Amino acid sequence: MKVALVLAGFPEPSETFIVNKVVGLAQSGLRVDVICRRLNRQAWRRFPQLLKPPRRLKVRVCWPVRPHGIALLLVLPALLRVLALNPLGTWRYLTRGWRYFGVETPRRLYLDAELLAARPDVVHFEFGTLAAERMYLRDLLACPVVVSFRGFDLNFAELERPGYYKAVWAAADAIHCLGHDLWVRACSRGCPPTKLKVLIPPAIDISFFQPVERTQPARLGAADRPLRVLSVGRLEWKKGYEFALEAIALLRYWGIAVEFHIVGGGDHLEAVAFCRRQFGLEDCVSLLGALPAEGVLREMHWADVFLHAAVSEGFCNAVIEAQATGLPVVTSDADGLAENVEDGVTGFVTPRRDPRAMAERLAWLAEDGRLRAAMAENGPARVRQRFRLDSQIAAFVRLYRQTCFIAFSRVFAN
Amino acid sequence: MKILIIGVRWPPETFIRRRIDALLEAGVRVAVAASAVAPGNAASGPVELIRVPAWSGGWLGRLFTLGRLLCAAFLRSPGGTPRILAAAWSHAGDRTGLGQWLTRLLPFAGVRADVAHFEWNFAAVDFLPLFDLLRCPVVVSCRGSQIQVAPHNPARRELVDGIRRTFERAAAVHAVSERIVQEAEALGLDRTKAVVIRPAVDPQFFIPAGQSARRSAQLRIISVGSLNWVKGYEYALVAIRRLKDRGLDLFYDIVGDGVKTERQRVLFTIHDLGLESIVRLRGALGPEEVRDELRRSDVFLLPSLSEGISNAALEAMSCGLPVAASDCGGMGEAVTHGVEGYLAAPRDTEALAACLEALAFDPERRRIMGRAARERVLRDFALPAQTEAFLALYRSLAQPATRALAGAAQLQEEAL
Repeated sequence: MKVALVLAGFPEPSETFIVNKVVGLAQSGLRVDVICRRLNRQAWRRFPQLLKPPRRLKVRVCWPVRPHGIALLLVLPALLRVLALNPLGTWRYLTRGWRYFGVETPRRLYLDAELLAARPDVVHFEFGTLAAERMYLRDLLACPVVVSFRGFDLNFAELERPGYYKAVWAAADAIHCLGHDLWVRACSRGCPPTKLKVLIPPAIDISFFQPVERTQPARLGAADRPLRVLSVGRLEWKKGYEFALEAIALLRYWGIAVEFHIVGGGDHLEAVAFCRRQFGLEDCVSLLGALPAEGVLREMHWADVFLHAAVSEGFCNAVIEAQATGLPVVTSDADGLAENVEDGVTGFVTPRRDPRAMAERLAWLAEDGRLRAAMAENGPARVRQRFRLDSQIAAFVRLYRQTCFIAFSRVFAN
Repeated sequence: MKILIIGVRWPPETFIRRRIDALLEAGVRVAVAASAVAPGNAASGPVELIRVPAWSGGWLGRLFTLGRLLCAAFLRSPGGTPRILAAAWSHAGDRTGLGQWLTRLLPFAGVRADVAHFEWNFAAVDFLPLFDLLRCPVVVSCRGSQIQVAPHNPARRELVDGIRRTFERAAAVHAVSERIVQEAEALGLDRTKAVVIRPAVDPQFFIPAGQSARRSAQLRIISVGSLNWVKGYEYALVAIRRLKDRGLDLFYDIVGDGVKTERQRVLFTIHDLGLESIVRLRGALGPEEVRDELRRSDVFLLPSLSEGISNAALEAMSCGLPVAASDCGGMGEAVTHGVEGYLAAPRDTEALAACLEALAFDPERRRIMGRAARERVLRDFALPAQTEAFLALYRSLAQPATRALAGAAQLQEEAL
């Protein structure tokens, strides 16, 4: 079976989960075509999985759209290429496409040329925003289409346009969400509840994020041994760092000594740095910038508690990784996070935008070594049970088989 | 007297436009060096417009621009251009190359002025060599986030040094609030150079609505300001949510637009907190529309995390609106807690909600505070007084005696 995964850029430094999935699918025996607008050559080296990519993985970069002159010259070569690789499919695309786009059809074909050349059995849009205006492909390629929703695409992408995902809800053969919460949001944005949906949470490489033996002192937060708190995630407004910093300020106000490390880079740096200053936390909060996986692991071994204050978050791999290394997690309840962490077992789930609630949970953990130890046991167990890469890959393979089967039987019935 | 205003766009922001008009009226000649000129707006009337081209595009285009600038500069000032070349050469480095310095500096060849005024700190840093090249006293304005926020960004450490150098060389530093002076002192400002001239609004334009304009039980709250993280809208929305939970009948208008991510953030927060039916994102509005919206509202809400002194708040006060504001930057110099409105600590949503609540249940208090706000603006933030203050500042700097002093100080500095 051949699957085409549609992405904007590949590989994105902040999207390890996509790389893991792509490589995992290819290793499991599927033929995987990654169709992306741009190739990130620098990021490529940061993924050890991609140094020796599996044979069945092929990355196809779309034909350039800019400058226009070049694009115009390339239309003919693109057409000849797809005609050679997929003559029947091209014929179907052109004849059916004429009904949709008329004279625009060659332009569309140019944009979709790599998808045509891949001849997929299933097309999977990895983000809802990528699918919104391309659902016609289901008809033109005559193959089932799966659409993933991973957080931002449901939460705030094109919120001003109520009918933005109408075509997706109408045409998609299956909707994949990271968790139940996102599925509820999809329904609130117009998805019919009867739609075929699958909830597949992300997965991590547990061989890399191993639990570490920690000494758990009964009390943390004294001046000689402050509570070490860690957050990992890009510096963006949706990660809610301003609320995390407020929680840290509260802890300090309560007399608990804290050290807070933030790993991640991004455009919100100025806001985060300003917030740190406004709360007077410059001496105990370090902004470490983006770190490679080894650096993240080192920080996780350093920390006592993981804090994640996001206001919008698909599921969050960093939280899974923290649990895998045996860190108790204090997290907000944004989207999938409440399904990610088991409240009271591997960490605590608090309302989002509620720094006081986060600070209280952090204080509990600081004062209770036994609680920390218990959560350090439960975290890795939960990850092993629920967020394994191999079971995630198997679930996706099942999903693709299922949609193909349904599509095939529909054709057969007609 | 001739004033050179540097680092604004053209047409300029309203408050700069007003000052330019007032200067022209007072018989002062004005030149404006604009880095961005809106297409179709090249007409500048009596104002001498100096265009500073952007250092962007392909290398061929840049080379062409550079050649054009060089020829024009030599034609205008055969004597001054070599000095500019030398300054550009000596400042060229990794961050800003020779070509970029030349595009920035060459348009100033042959430009003479009695006082030069950088309206923004960033502009002063970007045009640092001009402090020497122009041979006239220089004023730098400190308006808010460029002093209070940006220098603390770890990725912009070089700004700290740049701002300190502009303060050292400026003849006077204008600050919009006492608070900014304090923050600027931490960045190396010499207190004796500081001149506080607070922002001003036109009370003849922002007039309160008549008595009968508003007749509704619903409390109408309004915020005006670009969508930007500094404005703290997420905190405002949390406060609004608290009030909604307490059963208050209210409606909140947010007037302003901004970058896509921040608009998404505000929209998402509205939806996430379930406030779609009582919060409306209005986008950017023109001055007349803003005034009309203000006159239809009961309370002005300013949830900012950092402000110089918010012009939007002053406009609202001028329209007779009580203000619920976070006590950031110079806001305490415009609003006295309990007189023209209420102040809450920045980021304290509970306190902000309490401020709004105190105003919500008491129309009489709103009326009294609104009147006090209007009086405060007439007393301390009216346009004519501000224009006078700027004229006085420019005159004192342009006077030969003062200039001689400044020149002596500079000579002394060079000797050191």
